[in-house]
Order: sequence, then C-alpha cells, then structure tokens
Amino acid sequence: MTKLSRLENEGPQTTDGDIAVMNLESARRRAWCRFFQDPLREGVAETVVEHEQLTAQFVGDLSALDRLESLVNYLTDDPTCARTMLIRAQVASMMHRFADARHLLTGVDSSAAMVSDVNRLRLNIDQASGTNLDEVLDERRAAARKSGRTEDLIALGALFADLREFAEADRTYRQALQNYQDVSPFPVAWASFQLGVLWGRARCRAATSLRDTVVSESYPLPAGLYKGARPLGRNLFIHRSSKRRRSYTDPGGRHWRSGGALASR
Amino acid sequence: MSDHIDGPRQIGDPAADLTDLFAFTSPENPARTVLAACVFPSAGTIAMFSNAVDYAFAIRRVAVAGLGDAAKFQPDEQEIRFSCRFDNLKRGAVRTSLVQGGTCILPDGRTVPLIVNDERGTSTPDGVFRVFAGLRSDPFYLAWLVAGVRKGPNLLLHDNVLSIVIEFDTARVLDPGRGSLFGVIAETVPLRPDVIGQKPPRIDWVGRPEQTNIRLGNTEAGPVDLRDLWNQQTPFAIAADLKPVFRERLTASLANWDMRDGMADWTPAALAANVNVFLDDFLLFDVAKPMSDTSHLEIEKSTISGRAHQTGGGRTVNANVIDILMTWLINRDREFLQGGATAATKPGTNVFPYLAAPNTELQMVADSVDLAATPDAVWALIGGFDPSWHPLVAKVEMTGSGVGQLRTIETIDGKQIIERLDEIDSSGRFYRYTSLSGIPASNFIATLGVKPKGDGSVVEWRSQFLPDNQPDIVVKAIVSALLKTGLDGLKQRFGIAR
Repeated sequence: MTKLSRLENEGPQTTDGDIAVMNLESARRRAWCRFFQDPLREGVAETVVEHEQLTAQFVGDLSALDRLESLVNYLTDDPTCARTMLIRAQVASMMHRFADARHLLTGVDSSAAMVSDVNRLRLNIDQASGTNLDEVLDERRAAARKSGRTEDLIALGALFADLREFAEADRTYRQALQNYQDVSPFPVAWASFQLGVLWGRARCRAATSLRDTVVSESYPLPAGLYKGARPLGRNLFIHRSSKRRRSYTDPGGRHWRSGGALASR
Repeated sequence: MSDHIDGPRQIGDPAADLTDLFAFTSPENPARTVLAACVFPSAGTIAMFSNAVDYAFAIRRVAVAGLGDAAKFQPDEQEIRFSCRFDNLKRGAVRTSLVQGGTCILPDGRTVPLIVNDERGTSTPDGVFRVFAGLRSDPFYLAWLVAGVRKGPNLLLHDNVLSIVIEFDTARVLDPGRGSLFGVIAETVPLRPDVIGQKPPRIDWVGRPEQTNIRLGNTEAGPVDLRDLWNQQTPFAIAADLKPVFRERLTASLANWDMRDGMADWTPAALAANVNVFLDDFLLFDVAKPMSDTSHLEIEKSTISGRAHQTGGGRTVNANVIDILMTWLINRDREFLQGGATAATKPGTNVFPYLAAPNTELQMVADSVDLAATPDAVWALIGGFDPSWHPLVAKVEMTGSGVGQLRTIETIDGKQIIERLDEIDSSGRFYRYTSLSGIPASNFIATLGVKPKGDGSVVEWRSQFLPDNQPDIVVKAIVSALLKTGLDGLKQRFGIAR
C-alpha cells in the first residue's frame, strides 16, 4: 500500500470546487430548459440525466433522483423506443433498481446505434450488483488498457476493491490520478474518495465504520476538491442510512458495493 | 455546432470548452481590432470561468504562399499572445453575490485586471488595450438539421456563453506595415504541468468555425472520432506524422459535403486545395481591408479561386458563418443556402463588448395529478383546447379551429388571457400552446397531456417562460396557481388514483 506522504503533492490542479459546483448547477438548470423546449431532440434528455447524476454524486443533492423520475414521466415519445428505454434504464440503475434496469436494457438491444451505451450500462450494473465479475474484469482491463483514461481506470480500481485486491486497486487509482490531464475536479474527487474508502477498508477491515471524512483525513486533496469529494462521500454513504435506500435498492440485489457509484453511468 | 461540445475532454469541464472565435474591426473605432472567444456551451446565468485554465489568443502574421489549386497560407514563426487567467470566487459587496476576478497578460507583458461580468471592461492606462470577460448571449446560430441538410430552428436559441473580448489599437499591436494579413486561434490549456512535469495537452482550440464538428467530425467520412486528437494538436504546427490522417479525413468529409445536394461542384484538385487550406486552421483576417458580416471566408475562397482577396475576411459577431460555410462546401457558392434562422437569439451590438447581454434564464413550472379515470375520459374533457373545465375560468371565447386557434379567457377575477394552440396530438393526448397576453411573461409555452398510469391516468401540465417586468418568483407563483387550481379541479371531478 502506498505511503500517504508520497501523494501529498501529487494530483493535477483542477477547477476550484466552488466554481465547478456552480457551473454544474448552471449547466443543469440550462439543460432542463432545453429539455422543456424540445424533449425529443437528440441528446437533450441525455444531457439532463448526465447533469443530474453528477449533481447527486458530487453535490449530494438526492432530489436529483426525484427530478430524474420526473424526466422519465415527461418523455413523451414512445415509451418502448430504444432511446427512451435506455434513459429509463439509466435512471433505474441510478436508483439501484437493477432488475428493472436489466429488463429495460433487453428492449434496447435491437438498436445497433446504441450498442456501446447499452454495453457500458450493463457492465456498470453487473459490477455494482456483483454479477459476471470475471467478464466485467476482462472488459474493464481491456478498456483501461486501450484508453488509459481516468474514468476507465477508476472503474477498474473499484472492481479490484470489490474483489478485495487492495494493492491492485490502490495502484490503479493512483494511476488514474497520475494520468489525469483535464481540469474538471469531479473525476479526481471520485478517485480520491475511492482511495479513501480503500484505505479505510484496509485499515479497519470493516467498511461499516467509514465516514465521508475518510477522504479529507487520509488524502490531502488539492485546494477546492473537498467541495467535490465530501458530498460524494456523503452521497454514497447515505445509501447506508437513508430511509430512501429501500426504494432505491433492488430487492433481489446485493448490498452496496464500491462499484455501485458506477451503476448510473 | 461551431466548436461547441467537440470532444470528451471539452465536455469534462464546460468552462474550458471553446465554442467560437471572432476577429473583426471595432464598430466603435475602425483603428482598433477586436478578438473575442466564447466558452461554456449553454451556460446558465451563474456560470464562471475555470481558475485552472489558461484562456489564450495567439495571432501570427500570414503570407499568401500559393493561389488556385496551390492555395496556401504560410504563418510566421512569431506570435502575438494574449493570455487570460481567472481567480477563485470571492464574496461581493452584496453578501450573497459571488465575484470572480482575473488577469489578462498582454503581448508586451503588461497585465490588466478583470472583474467578470463588468460590462465596462478594463483598459490599460494608455488606452491601447481594453478587455472584457463575462456571460453573454451566444452569438452563434445553427438552424440546420445538419445530417440531412434540412432547415430547422436555431438550435442555440436562448443560449448563453462565457466570453472574453479583447480590443486593441491595430497599428500599435499588429504593425500592419509589415503585412496586414493575420491568422488567429484561441486555446484553453490547463495551467499546471502534470505530475511528471510535462505541459499537459491543451483542452481545446479553435480557428475557423466548425473544423471539429462539421469537417473532421463528419461521421459519414469515417467512424473514428478524431476531434480530441485534433484539439490536442499545436495550433499553427499540426504534427507532421498526423497530418496525413487529418488530410484523409478532411478529404473524405469535404467530398461528402460536396455531394449533399446530389451535385459535384468541386473538382478533385480544387477539393484538395480546400482541404489544404482548412488543414491550416486559423481564422484569417486582413486589417487593411474591410471586414463585414459577409466577409467571413472570403480570403480563403478568393485565394482558392486564384485571385487576390478583396475583404478583410475575419468573423464579425453577426456573421452567418454556418450558411456561408455550408454554401461553400456543398455548392461552392453556386447558390446561397439559407438556414432556418437569419440571426442569433440576440444580435451583436456596436458598443463594447459587442456581444449582446445574456439571455434571462427561462423559468419553468410543472405539475401533475394522478386521476382515477381512463386517459380517454380525461382527454375528452380537456383535449379540446377549450379550458372551460378550469375552476378559475369564468368565460371563454374560441376563435378559429385546429392549430392556430385562439382562446380568449376571462378569469373569475376579471383578467383576460389570450392563448394560441401550436400543436395538438389527439392520439398521443397532448397539446402545446403559447400564451400571447394576460400573463406577465414572454415566450410562454406550455403543454398539457394525459397518459395512462395503472388503472387510471396522469395529467401533466408544464410551462416555461421569461418573466416580464416582474420578479421571477411572482410570475412563477401566478403560473403555479393557474396550474395547481386546474389540476385540483380535475381531481375533484375524476377522483384521485389509489
């Protein structure tokens, strides 16, 4: 496991958390306006989903989930069309209704144009619910090797952590941070949070004692990143205590896994 | 869209996503030149610049190095550079407001402080430079459904962008006596080196509009998305080993565009010349010649056609760049292709900072009710556009029929509201209408629809509008009351779904 001190000065400079959160809110509101102007326009509903996911994940605003449910109701085109079903699957997955999400994805399969989106979501659902993990690992490894992108490395790291391969997970998260060349703080906050969880697991041998403060105590994030990382922690852990958890959890699904954060993406 | 949302890295932080670049003669003073760059597609009203990004303009003197099929623009090695950086947010004088400051580093090394959204901008003491940064109405407009080359509405209606505008004394800064033709690009680059000390790849850059989305990003010209790779190239110096890749894509793309009207207007040699010119992607402008709303691309077009250019080219705020470009690519100026809009949401102005003030954020009010009645039963009552079922309606007068039909409503408190039916789908059980008067709002559009839900139905009513001369909260309260009272009336009539 990496010594903490080595990470102190690592990590890229990213947009300050206050600015990033403000800009996310700005983009989220505008996305809804565009959606209401023309709900069927290609990409418009998908943008709303993306912004609401980020808002739930990084700002800790769980009303994003209610808004996404509304969005699904507002989609006025044929509810059986592939695009609508994919969006509904994304929203179901985000609420950890994995059985619903899988069922909806079955209906999207016929559309070749959406194959990669469907596969990505199915992979995330498998990882979050601990299904077909060997296959998921192969695909995650291949994706990370091919792209080297931070997002793919974080997903791989989360899977290693779920498989209790902590050293591999640590190495992968660190690589994700080192490879990062962009300025959005959200992927860095995500990787940092996952590292905090990982170290918490390794130290405590029991995830139940974790708090979102793990992040700020364990890993000295670059300035401004607490804004993104702390709500992320609060949001993920809220699944453990909130009454809402029951309605967002697949009845037949497994308990929360670190890969669960991927489920909606 | 111009350079909007042109790759995964740009989408990661929209404040680093360049949308457009402009270069034109100042409308206030013909002895001055204006550069403007926009970032953050579809920015909301609270958008701010990233404090981790260097927002830069780079200008190089350019020589015409070939005409006709050998058309070539050769940029100089020397660069004139403006670089803007922004700070963290600070509390403003009003406790709730947040303010962002910044600095613009000028070509001579001097710096100019900036306050984001200060319309007056900041000038150097000698008046040579003036700089603005802040939210403006997006001056770009695209009114084509590009894939099929069909006219459509402006896809960027009501959008805002963050803008940086730099105006300077042309003679003092560009020294046009040494050559008056220039190329300019704008770029966004992360400020800090990465962990191994390398300068991180730039996030985005833009020269002429639509290099990435329309020319390189033409999916009919190749399946691989080259836009990120292009965005990471060094402007004025595309990597030699990658040039063939980009050239091949541009050739396929421009050939594809040529045939979008079913007619070949480009010879292979002329097409190759066009590709070569677009491969050197910088926005050309000539400060010794007149720049106007129609002069965009004239320098390139004349040079490819084997003659000297007549205008200053460049790109004004109101230039109809998409129609100019599509006409050039599709029919080589045989017939002007006019899209479905002739102007942006708000046209540019003749006063600094030249880009129009930002659009007010559209307000939305939506409500719904679950009813213990079939969708058909509910639609039979509310689907006729006649709102007599609404408890607040005292009297209705209907004028005409079908789409375009007007309803003049007198409310129980004596107010008059006039609304027009814009769209109705009886099989889908919804209609859309515009409120023309009676509500203190403009651009008021609403939809009312019924869908099946369980054994009953759900009625959804949603509206969006721009408040007129009233605080947002007041207008929202008025509209909310209208919607809620109407839906409550349906609840009483049909009962609530269990």
